[in-house]
Amino acid sequence: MALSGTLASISAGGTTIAAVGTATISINVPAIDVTPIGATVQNYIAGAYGATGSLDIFYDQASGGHTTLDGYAIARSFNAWVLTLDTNQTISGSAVITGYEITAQAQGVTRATVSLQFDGQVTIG
Amino acid sequence: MATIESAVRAMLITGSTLSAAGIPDSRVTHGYRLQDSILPACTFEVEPEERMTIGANPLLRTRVEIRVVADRTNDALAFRDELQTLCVAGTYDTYEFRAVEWQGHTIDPANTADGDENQPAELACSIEIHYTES
Repeated sequence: MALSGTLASISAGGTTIAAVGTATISINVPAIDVTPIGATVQNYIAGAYGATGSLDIFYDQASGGHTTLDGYAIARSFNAWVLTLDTNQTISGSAVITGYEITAQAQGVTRATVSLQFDGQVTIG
Repeated sequence: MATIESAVRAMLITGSTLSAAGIPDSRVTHGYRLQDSILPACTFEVEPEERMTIGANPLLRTRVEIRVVADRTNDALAFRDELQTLCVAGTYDTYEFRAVEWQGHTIDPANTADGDENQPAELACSIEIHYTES
């Protein structure tokens, strides 16, 4: 079933971030090639997983949580991030902001892209 | 009940700027004007909105075309600056316009139409609005 984003939210360090266009959390598991020499088929094992994330926001320092993001980016601190879906399902973990790009367009709205690197376990559900 | 159409109209008649320039509030209408109504007149159309953010009070985006119909090209163009002054961020009919982007204008000159009738000039201005409903 497709879910509406109407009631979804994302928070950082307990502060809900307003004006979020998209929020993405990616869990990445490298496949490690363990194929023996001379084998005729490939074999893999799963490596340790890691997670990254990104946010696109309509940046405004008057919007809730945006100055919090400013502070986290400068502090280079790991904070608790929680993505909550309509169904109250959550995806959460501790992450640091690794990229923070604020873009102002002529006559347009100002946007920011936030890149995250999660540390350790990501909890789903 | 407030709607994006009522909010756009509220923006256009703010401060009676258009009225003072020659278009009374009663001649600022959504969609069309009566063909025998007095010129100049102003109409506008709103495109379907697009949801831009997640959350309970999301940021929405829509595009609006505003038209000024007048007897001559210069009469229509004379309202361009007033419209640009009016199309700014603010709260209109409870809707909060966070950003209003002026995207330019085109002008259709007055000319002779079918049946040798004089067709009025039409100034068409496009704006894009980022807004929330409350």
